[in-house]
Amino acid sequence: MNRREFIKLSAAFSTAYGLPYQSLWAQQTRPKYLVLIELNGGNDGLNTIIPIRDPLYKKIRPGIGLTESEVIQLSDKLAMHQALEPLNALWQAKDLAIVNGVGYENPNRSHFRSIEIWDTASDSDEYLDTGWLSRVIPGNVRHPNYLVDGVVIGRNATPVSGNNMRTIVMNTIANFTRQAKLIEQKKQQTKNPALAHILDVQSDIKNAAQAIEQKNLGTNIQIPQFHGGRFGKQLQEAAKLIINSTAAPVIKVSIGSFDTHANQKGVHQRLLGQLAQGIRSFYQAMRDYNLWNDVIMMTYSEFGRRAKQNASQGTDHGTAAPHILMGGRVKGGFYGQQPSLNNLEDNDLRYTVDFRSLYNTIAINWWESPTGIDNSRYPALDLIS
Amino acid sequence: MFKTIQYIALLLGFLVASHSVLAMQYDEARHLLSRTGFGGSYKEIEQLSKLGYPHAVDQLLNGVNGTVEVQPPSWLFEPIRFDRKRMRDASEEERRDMRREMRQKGLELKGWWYSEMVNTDSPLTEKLTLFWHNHFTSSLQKVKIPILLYRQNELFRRYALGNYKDLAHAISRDPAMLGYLDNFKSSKQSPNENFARELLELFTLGEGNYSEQDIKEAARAFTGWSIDRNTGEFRFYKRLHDFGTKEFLGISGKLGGDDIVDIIFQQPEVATLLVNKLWIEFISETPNKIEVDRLAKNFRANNYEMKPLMRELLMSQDFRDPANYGRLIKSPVDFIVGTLRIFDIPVHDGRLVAFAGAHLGQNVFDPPNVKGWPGGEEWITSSSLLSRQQLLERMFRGNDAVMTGRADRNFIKPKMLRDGNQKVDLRPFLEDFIKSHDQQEIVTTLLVDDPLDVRFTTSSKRSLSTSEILTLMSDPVFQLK
Repeated sequence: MNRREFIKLSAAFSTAYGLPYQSLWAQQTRPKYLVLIELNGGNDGLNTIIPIRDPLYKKIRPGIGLTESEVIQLSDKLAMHQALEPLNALWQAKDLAIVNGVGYENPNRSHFRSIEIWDTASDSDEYLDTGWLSRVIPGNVRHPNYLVDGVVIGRNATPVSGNNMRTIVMNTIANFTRQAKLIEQKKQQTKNPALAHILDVQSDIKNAAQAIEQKNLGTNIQIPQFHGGRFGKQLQEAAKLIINSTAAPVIKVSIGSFDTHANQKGVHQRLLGQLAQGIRSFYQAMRDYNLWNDVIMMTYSEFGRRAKQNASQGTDHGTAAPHILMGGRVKGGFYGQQPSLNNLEDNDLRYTVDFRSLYNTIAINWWESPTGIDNSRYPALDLIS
Repeated sequence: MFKTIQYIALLLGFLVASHSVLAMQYDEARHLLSRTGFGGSYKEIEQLSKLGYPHAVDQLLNGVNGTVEVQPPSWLFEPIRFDRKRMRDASEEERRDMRREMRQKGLELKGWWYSEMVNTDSPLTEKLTLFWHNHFTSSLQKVKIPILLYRQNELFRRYALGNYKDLAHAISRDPAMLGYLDNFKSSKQSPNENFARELLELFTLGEGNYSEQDIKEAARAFTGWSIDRNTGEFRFYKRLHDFGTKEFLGISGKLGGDDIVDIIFQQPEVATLLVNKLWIEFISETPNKIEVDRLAKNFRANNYEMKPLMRELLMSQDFRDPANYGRLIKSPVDFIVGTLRIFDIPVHDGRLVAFAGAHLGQNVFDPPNVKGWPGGEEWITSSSLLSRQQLLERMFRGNDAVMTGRADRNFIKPKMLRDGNQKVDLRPFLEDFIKSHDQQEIVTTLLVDDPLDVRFTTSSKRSLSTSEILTLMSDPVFQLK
């Protein structure tokens, strides 16, 4: 089925099911997806994008430091872990941006608290109840143009929760639609807000599941098996949702655990490998369907790891780390500033880019949202064309 | 003689009144049990409704005592060994084993609490213990040592309806709390503000009722309040304490931690914050400000005694207003424990129940952050609603019941369980339930309001099939309390 046929089908479908949304493509605008990748557990930035020629690097990482033969040189100073080799094609195509030194003031080193800070885009000592995406997704990108506002494949829906965000969480599309069948939807007016909420959630589930099923029945999209283990499978589901055009502006996936306190090298190599392989498969699928320009992918993680390795050949919880953005409209290259190993604070890197600048890049430069997150303080990065 | 007659007349009058005016309706008794506990069986609701409302409330309140039905895991009573040298010298493998042991014990602890909630004669005790756990939060994830969380749970249980101010004093020297909010490493040289900040912001005064400077001064007052490394008990380290003058909320002096708590409890905001929280827990998501102020005022006048406050709360117009019936969403604990209790299903392995709870979003002893579980509508997301439904389906399918049965990859990680777990078929319990109840009884027991599914009227006396019960429990109204 091509896009035009899909429009017809989805229009017919809307009528048939009385769904209160209009197809976005009927309005002749291309959708803009964000695929958010959570590196759960705190990824070791210094062994992901490596200041390989900095003598201090070898000094603080005598056991787990990478050698020149274990990395791919990207610039005269920085290299990437060899496990990220599948991303080299994106880097060469200038579709991969690396933002160095991403973090925030007064870093918190608790997994739970720090991921909450990232998920809600709060200050270190501020508690917010809503996910950052719920505050920046502009009205025209939100439901009802899409089926729902967010699809979380796997864990942690916080970034896409709150402010009436319609979010569905699933492991696989098949599992979700099967589970959804167990729900019997009752249409009812009620003055009880608690009951109304439950009915709303039921209706989100039902609508999403029915639409997904309907479209899958009509198309049966075949995409090659993704690489990258369980993470790759998540991205494969994300790709199916985007190709089927049923989904949401935000699709979130996650990979982990990057919490490498001990014997880090092997685990980290494996995880980065899966990350890169999964992304490479996704890139390929998007290009095959001519959708790579409609997608931006971004990684995030609760923190980087301590600059100095620990005694167990691992690293403890740290602060700033690099993050990557990818997509057909991403202007590849380095952004931000690599934190100096000379100027550590409690053995940790000092951040150079506030993470909210990344969020504002998505909000303002990608979705052209009128509101970012305190964007005068945290300006968007000019990395989208 | 005359007096006696008068007395008898009075007594008779009272008895008549208690039967006509004071006797509760079934619905009101059901509401009371569903809010102060995990719901009641048909018999329990009927029995309670025979008492007058005030008597029913008193009976529930008087049932709250610090005791438990289910024996906690025995390792909790072994002498505690915080062998620092052993920890320091341990090899990587030994460390891993120690971490694994802590995780196992933590899981057993969670399982024990669930068993207690299912078995207790005083569900209100558990409701209040959970309330305090969600107010004065601490988590195993951070504290790591299960026994400290158990002792904190014991404290909450003991103070369930005790004196709030005393509890605040006690929690300030509770090792799990001191660990959770980093106060154990707070010293004169570098005071850690974490505990002081949350004490003011989340536990007592609420934001806007103190300054940043007050936090700093309070933090100084709590320096040296730490944990004895050998016993795991509270210990005051004199040499780490800042004995200097502090100025806190306008009061100046050589203040210590207890002085800070005392000064805090002179502020009216303390009572208001807690009453609001109790309101949201027990009555509705929209506290009635006038009533909150009245209750808070009395709470202060009663020197922060919880029992009279809870009594007033449960006796209040708003609590009893039928418009507030079914206006709260069941927490995962309500959902799971309530289901097990209603069908009289014994807990075979509490750890599995704890996993189910975590899967639905309430990992007891591990609140998501210092603010606790947000609760209310946040309990129900597309994912948690589907999980709740799936949990019921499995239970009714019998052969792989999650809550007491076989480990299922979706709900628990089998490798985290040390010993194998046995399959328990829950269907006989459901069948027993069906045999002893008719439609009217089942509908009015399982749901706090009429189901949306109009097939299930409360006037029918026919018996129901298991699949009809599943349909009833899949009704959105089943999610309400």
